[in-house]
Amino acid sequence: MTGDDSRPGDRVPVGGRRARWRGAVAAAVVLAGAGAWLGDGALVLAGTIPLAYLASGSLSAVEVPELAVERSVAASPAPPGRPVGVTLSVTNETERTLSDVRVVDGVPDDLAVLDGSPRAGVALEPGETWTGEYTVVARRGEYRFDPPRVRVRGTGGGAVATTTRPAEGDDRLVCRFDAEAPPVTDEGTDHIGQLSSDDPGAGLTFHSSREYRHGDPADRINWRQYAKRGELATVNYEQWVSTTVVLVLDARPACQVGAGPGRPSAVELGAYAATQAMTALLRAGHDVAVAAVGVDGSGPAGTGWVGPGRGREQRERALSLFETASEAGGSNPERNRRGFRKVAELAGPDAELLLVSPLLDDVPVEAVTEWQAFGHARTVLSPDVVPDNTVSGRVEAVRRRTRLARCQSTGARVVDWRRGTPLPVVLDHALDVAARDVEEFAHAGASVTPTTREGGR
Amino acid sequence: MPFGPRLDRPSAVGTEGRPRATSLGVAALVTVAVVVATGVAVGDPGLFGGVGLLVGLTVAGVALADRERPVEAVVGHLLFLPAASLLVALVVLQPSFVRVGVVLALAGVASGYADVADAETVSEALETNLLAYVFGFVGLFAVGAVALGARLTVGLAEGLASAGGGPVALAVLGVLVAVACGCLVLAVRTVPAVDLAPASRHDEVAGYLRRAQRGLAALAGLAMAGALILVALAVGTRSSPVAGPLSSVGETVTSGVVVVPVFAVAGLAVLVSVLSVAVERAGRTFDAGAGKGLVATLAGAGYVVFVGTLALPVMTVTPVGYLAVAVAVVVPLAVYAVAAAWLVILRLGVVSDRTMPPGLTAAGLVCLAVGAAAADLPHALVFAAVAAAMVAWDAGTFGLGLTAELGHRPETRRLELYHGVLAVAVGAVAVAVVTALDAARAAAGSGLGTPQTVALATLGVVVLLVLVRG
Repeated sequence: MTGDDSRPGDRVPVGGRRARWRGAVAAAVVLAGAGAWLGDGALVLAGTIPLAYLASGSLSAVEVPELAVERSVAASPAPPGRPVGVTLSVTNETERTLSDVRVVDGVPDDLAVLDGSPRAGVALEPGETWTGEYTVVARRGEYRFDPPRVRVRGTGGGAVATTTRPAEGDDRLVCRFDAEAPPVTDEGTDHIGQLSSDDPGAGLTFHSSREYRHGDPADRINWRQYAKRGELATVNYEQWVSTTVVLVLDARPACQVGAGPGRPSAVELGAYAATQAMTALLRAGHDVAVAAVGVDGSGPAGTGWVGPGRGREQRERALSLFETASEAGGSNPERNRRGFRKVAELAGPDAELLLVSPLLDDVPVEAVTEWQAFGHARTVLSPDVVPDNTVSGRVEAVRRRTRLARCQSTGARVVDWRRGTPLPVVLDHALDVAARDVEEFAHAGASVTPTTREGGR
Repeated sequence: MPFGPRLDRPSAVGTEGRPRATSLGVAALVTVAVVVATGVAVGDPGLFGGVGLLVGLTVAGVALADRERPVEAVVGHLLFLPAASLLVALVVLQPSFVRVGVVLALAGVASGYADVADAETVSEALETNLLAYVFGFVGLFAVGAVALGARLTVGLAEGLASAGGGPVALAVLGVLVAVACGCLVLAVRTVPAVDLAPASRHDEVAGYLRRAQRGLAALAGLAMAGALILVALAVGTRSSPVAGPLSSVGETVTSGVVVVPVFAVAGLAVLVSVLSVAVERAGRTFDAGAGKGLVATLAGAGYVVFVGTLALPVMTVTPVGYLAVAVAVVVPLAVYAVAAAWLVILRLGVVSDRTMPPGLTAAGLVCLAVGAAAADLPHALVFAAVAAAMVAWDAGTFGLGLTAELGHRPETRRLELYHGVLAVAVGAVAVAVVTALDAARAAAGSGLGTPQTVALATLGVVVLLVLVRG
């Protein structure tokens, strides 16, 4: 909106008046002229009706009223891509009815409004409160809302006053990769890994029972069998093991794109997914290494790299790398290709590779194909940032699905993170797949059929 | 949206577009009330229904003509020109301020709802429609020429039959059949039947077409050969025993019942060929110009069918049919003149794109008021029409301002209703006061002054208000 700002109690200057009745003047002149021409007194009298409107508009006046504005931002900090509800309330604190109040909230330019509207036009009785809601899409960073602009019109709409009102309550939206992520202890949970294998041992899921040997823990003795038959037996469970997982984030410039203006980029979403996955793996006691291809760093082939490790500090180092990755990507395509290759070389023989990439070109597909030669278990988690409301977007979506299928055909596990489903659901799929991959590693030779899972944001 | 689906494509936030729905509803309500009351006052209760239908079709036509999809655009053009032509004819046949006012007021409301009053929409629709009109005009001439040719051919065949006897008549029929077969071969070659068939049946359809072409060509050859033999027979055997029976057969086959269908088949085949080629050429490229050409071609063909359907029944009976065709050809020119005037008003900046609909509604109602006064209708109707004009302008521009500032998403019904009720209240008070003054004036005779002096006083007040408040 445009117009001079005013303070409460100010009388609106003449410049704050809208000329809305020039047409009424013309109508009055036409009617009076026609009446005079036709000699019809009724027509001349009719010419005074527009003047009544002109007069009512001229007599209209307005003051900037006392309005209380409050804003609340749900779920801040929020992870990237999460719809965040914003509630704006306006209360008329004067003793008179405000016939025309228009409010526009100061949404940060970098955030897109997903649903609802940050704008409103209301009539407010004394003490009445209007409440409106809209939804923005979170992007990594901290975004400050500008104060809402308020425009008030006098009765008849002739006089206008515009001002800004500082909103009480929340004035910023914070978005972080580790939002909603549970804390990580230095030692992980009590379990040694949470990937089950077919090897019998300690765990939770029943595997088999065997004859008791001296030194077996008392909590694994099958006491029921002892009561029935008088023989001691020991229960075996599916043994939980730990492994090393290398998270590879595709942060090349080709991935610095979003589904639309104000939407998080594929790298932001990928970093968010990698953060959550890493947190889950660290809490399970696994060693996690992180590589960010497309980021200049000290890792293999000059990529960003955080070596295998566990605990809180490991996550902090990885988060720092993800934040660097979300801001800019390296522009050397050949070095990026080498980076993908080197990551596989550096990963240990038992390590699993988890690639997070939107699959917007063939480079990650080639990388997954190359990794096959190293014998690593591979999982591809792909956030979908391709819009489906344009022809070119649909074509690109077909290409992306083709790349997903190509990854799957190499034996990799593929998880398609569609827009609309929360990340934890997708990660459940991805990590469940990862668990079974470890089982396959532990018992090489088992027949495995790769699967594609679908989730969404 | 209180009434039906919307025809425009609004953006979430925009400075252009139509007023908010509730404001439009208030403006439409008062306008319709005044138009219905006017219809009752002039003894024509169907005034609103008749004019409203034509105005609605015209505006819907413009809105659809602005669409990108060819089918919608063609339907739009097919709606627009006939409805607008009938509307213009309605006004021209019975010219009055009241009728013009009703048309303008309803056009303002309808164009506000459809958001089609802006220069860009009107000019684009007009451009394509003018092209369709030219195509239709040319097509009409072509159809007329074919009809004339058919008539002449029938006459020629009958003349030859009576002069040359049965063999010559049969020869003429043979030539006609050969020509018709040739035209059908042309149509089979140009119509993209193979392309339109499912991909799995392409070969099958192509085979059918090849066989059909060969059959038609053989039939044409046979007919032509038969014609030549019959001509030779007529020259050499004028007094032969077969002359008598052939003569009676010739009279039968050269009658209009046989010749006209053969000629119609030939003409239809040529028309289909021309249309197929035109559509194929227009649709060969996918730029805006080609799309317009395609739409104009199809709409032009539709106009030919429309005018032909209207005129054919009367043409065969009376020359009035020719007059009807002439009117159908000429009236659209008046429609284009009105549309051009509309564009000139917008281009000169007399009224902006946004304020055209409420401005048109208000102007129409003021025109209606002048007409009602001139027709000596009840004074209350005159005052109500003027008040309705002000309410329509006020609500319309208020709703436009809301759209410009807040977009189409926020719920503003309460705010709009508040403003609308206020505008109606001001109008009601003004009408009540003016009616009382009018009654007093009527009771006092000329004691309150002549209309000229009152008009001067009104103008003085206007000038004063303008000077004081800008």
